[in-house]
Order: sequence, then C-alpha cells, then structure tokens
Amino acid sequence: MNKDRFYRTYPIFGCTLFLIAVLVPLCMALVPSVITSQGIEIQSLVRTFTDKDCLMTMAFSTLLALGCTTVCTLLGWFGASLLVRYHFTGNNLLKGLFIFAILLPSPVSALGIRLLLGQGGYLNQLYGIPAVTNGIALVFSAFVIFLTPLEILLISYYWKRLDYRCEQAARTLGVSKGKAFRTVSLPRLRPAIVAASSLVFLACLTGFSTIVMLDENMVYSTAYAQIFRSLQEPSVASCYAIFNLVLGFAVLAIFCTMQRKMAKRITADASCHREPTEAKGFLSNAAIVIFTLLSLLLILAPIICVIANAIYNSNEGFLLTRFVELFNGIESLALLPLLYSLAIAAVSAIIAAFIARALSIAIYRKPNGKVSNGLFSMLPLCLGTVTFGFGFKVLGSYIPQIPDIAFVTLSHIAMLTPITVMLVGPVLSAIRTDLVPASRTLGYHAAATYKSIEKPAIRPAIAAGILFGFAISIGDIANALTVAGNDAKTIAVLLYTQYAKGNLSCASALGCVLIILCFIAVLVGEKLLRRCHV
Amino acid sequence: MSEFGLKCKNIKLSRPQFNLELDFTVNKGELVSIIGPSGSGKSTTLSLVSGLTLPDSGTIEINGKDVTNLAPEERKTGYVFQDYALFPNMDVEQNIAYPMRHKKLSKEEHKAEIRRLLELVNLSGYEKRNVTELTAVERQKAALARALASEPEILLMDEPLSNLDAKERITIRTEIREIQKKTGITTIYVTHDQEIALSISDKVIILRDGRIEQMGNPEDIYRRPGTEFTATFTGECNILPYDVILRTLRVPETERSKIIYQCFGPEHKLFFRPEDMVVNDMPGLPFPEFYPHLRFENAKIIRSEYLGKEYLVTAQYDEFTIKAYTVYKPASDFITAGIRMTKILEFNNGKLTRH
Repeated sequence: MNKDRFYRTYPIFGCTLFLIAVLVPLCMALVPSVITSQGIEIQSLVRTFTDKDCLMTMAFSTLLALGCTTVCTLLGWFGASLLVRYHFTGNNLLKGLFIFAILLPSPVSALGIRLLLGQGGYLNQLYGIPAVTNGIALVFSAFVIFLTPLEILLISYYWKRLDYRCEQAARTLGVSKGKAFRTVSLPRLRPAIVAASSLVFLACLTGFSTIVMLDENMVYSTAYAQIFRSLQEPSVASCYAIFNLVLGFAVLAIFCTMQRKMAKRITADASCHREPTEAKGFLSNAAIVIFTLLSLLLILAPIICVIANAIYNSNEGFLLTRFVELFNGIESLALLPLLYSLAIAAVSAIIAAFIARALSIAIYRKPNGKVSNGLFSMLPLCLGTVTFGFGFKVLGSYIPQIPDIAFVTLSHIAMLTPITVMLVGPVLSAIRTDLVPASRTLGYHAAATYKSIEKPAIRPAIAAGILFGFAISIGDIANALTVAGNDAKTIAVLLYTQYAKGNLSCASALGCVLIILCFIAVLVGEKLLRRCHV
Repeated sequence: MSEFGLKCKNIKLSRPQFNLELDFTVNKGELVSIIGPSGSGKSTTLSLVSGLTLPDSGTIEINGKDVTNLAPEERKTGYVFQDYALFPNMDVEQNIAYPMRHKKLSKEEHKAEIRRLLELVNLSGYEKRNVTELTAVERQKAALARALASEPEILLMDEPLSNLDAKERITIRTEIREIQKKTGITTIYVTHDQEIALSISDKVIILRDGRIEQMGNPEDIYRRPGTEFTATFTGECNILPYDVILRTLRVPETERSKIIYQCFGPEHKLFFRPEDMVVNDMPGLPFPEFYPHLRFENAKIIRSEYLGKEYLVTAQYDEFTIKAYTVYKPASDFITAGIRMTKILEFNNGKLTRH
C-alpha cells in the first residue's frame, strides 16, 4: 500500500546516515582487539580479559554503576511518588530543575561537586565540615545527585499515565490504599522502574567527565574511563570497549523491552490520567517539604558553587573581569573554543534531529519496525562518546586528511540521535491512529498527510530535541578529548584542562558560560515540549 | 450512467481468525446502514470501500468507476470516523478547509463554502474554535462538515453517534438523515444500534462473521427476518419450539388438524414479535376471540421492565418463556397472551421457511 511504501522509503536516508555514524566507529573501535600489525590474533584479547587489574576495573565499573543505580532508584521512586500524587507549590519549577540537572554538562556538575565537597571546598571552608577526599564518594555523589532526576522524571511520566481507575476499583473492592497500590499499580509500574533504572545504569557506565575529574585516590577507575586512558594501547582500549558494549547492550535491551511493555500499559485517554491532589496530613506535607528542599539544595548547591567561584575570590572580592579576559578579542583563551563548540553543537543537534525524525518514523510507523529499529536507534546510549571517539581516532589514523572536528561532530550526531528519538517517538506514537486515514480519505497522499498532520505535531518535540541536544553536545569533553586530546578546541575541554591545571577559578568561569547556555536551552525546550499537539 | 452509487462485487478479505466476504450494491443517493455484532466486519467494510484496506479479490465500483486499486485519496470518499479524527493542530475552519485545498477557489469562495457547510451542520460561528474545546456533538458535526467539504461521491460513517448521549443521538440521527437527503450523497452508515439503522436507512445490511446475513429495507428486515440471527439481532422476539403449537392452538376443532398439518413441521421453530401479542392481565376478563391463534393462558410473570412508554413483560408458560409489551404495568402475577397465526413466521435450521 502507498502508505507503507512512504513510511518504508522516507527514513532510508536518515537511517543510512545513522548507520554510518554508529557502525563505522564501532567497528573501528572493536577491530584493534583482534587485528594488530601482525594480523589477526586473539592473545591480546585473552590477556586483557584475564588480567587481574582489568578484571577488577570491569568489576568496579559494574559495581559502581549498580550501587549508584540502586540509590537513584530508591530516591527516584520516592520523588516520583510525591510528584505524581501531590500538587504542591513549586512542583513545576522542580520538574524544570530536574531537566536542567539531567542536561547540565557533566564537567560542570563534576566541578560543582568538587567545589562543594572536595578538598578546600565551600562546605569545608565555610562550615568546617571535613572535605570528602575519597574519589569514590565524590563520583557516587555526583552520579546520584545528577541522575536521580532522570529516574524521577521517567517513573513519574509513566506513573501519571497509568489508568488510575484500576486502583480505585481495587479500593471499592475492600482493599486498603497501600495494598491497592502494591497489588494493582506497582506490578503495572514495574517496567517503568526497571526502564528508568536501566537508563541510569547506562549513564553511570558511560559517565566520563565525572570519573576523570573526580577519581583522585581511587584504586580502580571505570572501564569506560580506561578506554580513554589506554588510547596508546588500542588493543587494550578495544577490549574495554567490548566489555562496555556487551554489558551496555544487555542493559539497553532490558530498557527497550521495558519501555515497550510500559507503552502498552499506559493510556492515551487524558481523563484516566492521575491528577495530583493537595497533600493532607502531616506526613505527606513533611515529605514534600523535605523532598523539595533536598532537591533544591543538592542540585543547586554545586551549581551555585561554580558561579560563586567564578565571580568571587576571597582575596580580590567580587570580580567579573575574568569573563572579560576569557572572551575579549580573537586572541583570548575562550572565544575561539566557544565559537567552535557552538558550531559543533548546533550542527550536530540539527543533523541529529533530522536523523531522529527518520528513525522515529522507522520505529513507530514502518510495519514490523518497532523492536529492531528501536534497539538500533538506542545503540549509542550503551556505547558512549568515548567509544565513538576511539573508533574515529582509529579511523583518523587511516584517513588523516579528515579533520578531527568532523569526527567530533559525527560522534555527537550519533550520541544525540537517541535522545531526540526519546523525545519525538512518544509524540509520534501518541498521534491518534485515525488521523492519518482521515487525511487520506480527504484526498491527501501519504507524504502530504505526513507533512500536514504528523510533522506539525512532532515539530515542537524536534525543536526541543535540537535544544536539548545542543546543551548535551556543548558540554561534552569525552569525545573531543578522545579524538583530539588536550588540543581539542572546545569550551568544555578548555574547562577540563584548566581544572586539571588547578585553575579552578577559570574553570568555574567557563562553567558559568555552559550553565547559562544549558539554562536557556532547557527553558525554551521545556516550553516547546508542552506545546506538542497529540 | 450507472444507477449504482456503490457496487462491491465478490469482495474477499482474509485475516487471521477473520474472513470477510461481501457482495452488495447500493443505489445512488441511498442511505444504507450496516449493522452486526462486534467483529462482524462492519468497520472493515468501510475500510475496504475507502481504500484504507485492500481486498484480496473482487471489485469495488463507486458511481460506475472501478476504484478497487485506487489509493484512498483518489477515491472521493468522505469518512466520518468513530472518534471523529479531527486534526488537533487546526481549528474548525482549518479542519473543514483541509480537503478544499485542492480546489481552486478564491478566498471569498473558500470562506463562503466553509460558511455554507457550517450552516448545513448547524455549526455557524464555530470557525475559529479549537477542536479540543468542542463538545462531542459539535465534534461530530465538524467531522461531518469536513467529510462533506471534500465533495465525496460516497459518504462513510463509522458509528458516528456512539459517543453521544441518548437524547443527542435522536436529534443528530434526524439531522444526519436530513443532510443526506439535502445533499443526495450515497451514504454507508455503520452502527451497532439497530434502532438507528431501522429509523434512518433506505436499506439495512446485517453482517455476521464477515458475511451478509440479510439485506433489505428496514421494514422487511424487522418484520420478515430471513434468519433466526437477524430476528434476534434486530429487536426483542419470541422464538419457540414447534411443540408449543399443539398445546396453545385455538381454532375450531374441525380445522385444527388441517392447520397444524398445513403450517408447521416438528423440526421448525416459531417466531413472532412481542408487540404483536395481545395481552390480558385481568384474570376475570374474557380473552378476545380471533381465530386462528396461539393462546398462552395464565402464564406466570417472571419480570416486567418499564421502558418508558410501555412494559416488556417476560412470562413463563409451561417450559416456554414468552415476551410481550403492555401499556400498563400488569395488574396480577399472571397474564393470558395471544398471537395470531398470521403474525407467526417459521424458521427451519435458523432460516425463514414460510411467512
């Protein structure tokens, strides 16, 4: 049928581009593990996977991710239950803050945690609280603070859309409130909790800036960070990439399965969605106050520390001249990196949105495309930018003519695509199934129908995807560092190098710039998401 | 020119656990209702006519033109969906103007056409209203106006009144019929409500398990159902075994055996509608004599349901259950009910054998 033909052919170009952006670097990243200058050999692979340090690194990566995920799940569950059940002053502000926390560039969040809790940090200086010198504790704190919002938002999104009348029906059948929740709502919500936890696990597994900036005094680092640190030994880096790919892919498969299950359980009928009510009783009110204060404190404190450190110095007082120095003139330290970053982020976010639109159609419109295309589009989430960077670095050694900036942009495109798919996909799938046939019977062919009905509906989500993608891309250091090393001219890498040199004030000033850009992107993107007509 | 508005010839469609076989024609300007239980293939039939589903075999002609292999947008069908399928990103005016974009109309003509359509469906003044703010009735009207805006050769309506309350349904069904008569568009109307189908249609098609059980004018369908399924599906009825005749036949003794011999065989079932029964609920009153008839004397009332303008009384006579309508609530626990032999139809193996 024409409709099927359109939906089959439309995504081909976008999907092919995505395939190239993902599979080429992936292959290039995996090849060094078995192919060396001597030909095909697996000794290096065996050696790495039997080496005690390597095994400990892999075990540590898994345990760290598991530990963070467990804490995030518990906290996320608590937060989501309050957001879904109760309407309270500032809950919309909190949701916005959570999106901001998720999208905040990880070098900034790591810097914030270091300034807040680390040696000579604000808590230590101002209140005499002992500094956290243990790298694991710092990394753990950073992951929990900035990934719990992801858990909260995902769980509450699905929870709100479960048909609340089932729980009411159970209540009318003589079951208590708690038991009705345990026996009716919780089993239906379980896939959402597992899906959210899987995503948090993947984020921990592929967390880079947090590890490389905060892992002082850690006996073992994570496998993901070790890919970057083993760039001089491609075979070892490749083995770490294999480990990350296998573990990440297993978790990704769980995420996709659970997400599909959950999509079947939620209802599109808004009248069946749970509406939050005013909190009654001391316990619920106390829980809301604690939750709100903790969220504000934990998320805003590191950000405030970065801003404070950028504009205030105990010796010189308040000063803004640092910003002027950083961005004054073409010879300045940060202007060119900022322009580079803006260009890379804008280009990669726009191209990623174009590919994400094609992939979303392949997933939600193409017959029998849901499972394989869904998993395929999410693949970059389990690979992470370092793997892409490593793959492109290997490729670059074969084709030195291609500039690093092209590889960095391609990696960003691959990384941002699944994020935009996650925004566009639900909007596309929520478009009522009878709208397309209605348009067809009114004289519009499949392509015109897509243009006039589906495209306007997903446009705000695409625009939000571009903005969120921009925020993620501009804060990335993993890819740029892997491809181009410390010479990479992006503002996030500059922040990292200044941090590594111990110039925290300069790093903070650069962090402020990233915070402002991310804030604008979140503010506009969030407003756009609310405008999605479905 | 063809006299047929729609001709579905030997249409076959196979789906897992479902096969559809259709062969029917609809005259130009007729309103034909399709009724049947859930899963009988009503909406699939509309889908086939509109081109949203392609048949495995057979041909579909609209106004004499073979459209079997045409895409939906090339068929000139107007489709009113069950949930109306109004585009939420457009207001009422934009929704109605949507199918008119292909026409080369000036801005004034465009506006005038939209105004005319809104007047036709009694929705004037709603041009700039957002479709999400409309009530169910208004959405239904806007969807109908949009379907008409495409100047369809055939109008397809898929249970358009299912989201309305009882009072709205009665008003809108009359409006739909008036609009259909005014525009003269051949219309296929799918519903599960036999009352609507009988009240507004020129013809009714009964579908069962993907096959046409019966097609005819509403009165024939109701009064002379071709099958036991049609009889039960189109309204309340009494279907009793042949045995009942031996016990309840009232006829002069001389003619008794002749009538029994002429009319029925033991393999047959008797069918009659409750409204054809004469009911006497006062034990002392004599029952009117009209020969020949079946008389159920002193049947015990099991229940009587108040339907507003009448009561539906269900009573037990020996092992038989009978239904009859009465204007007033029965005064006692027993009734005597009678039915003329001329009102009785007979079914053999579920099919009408004589009437």
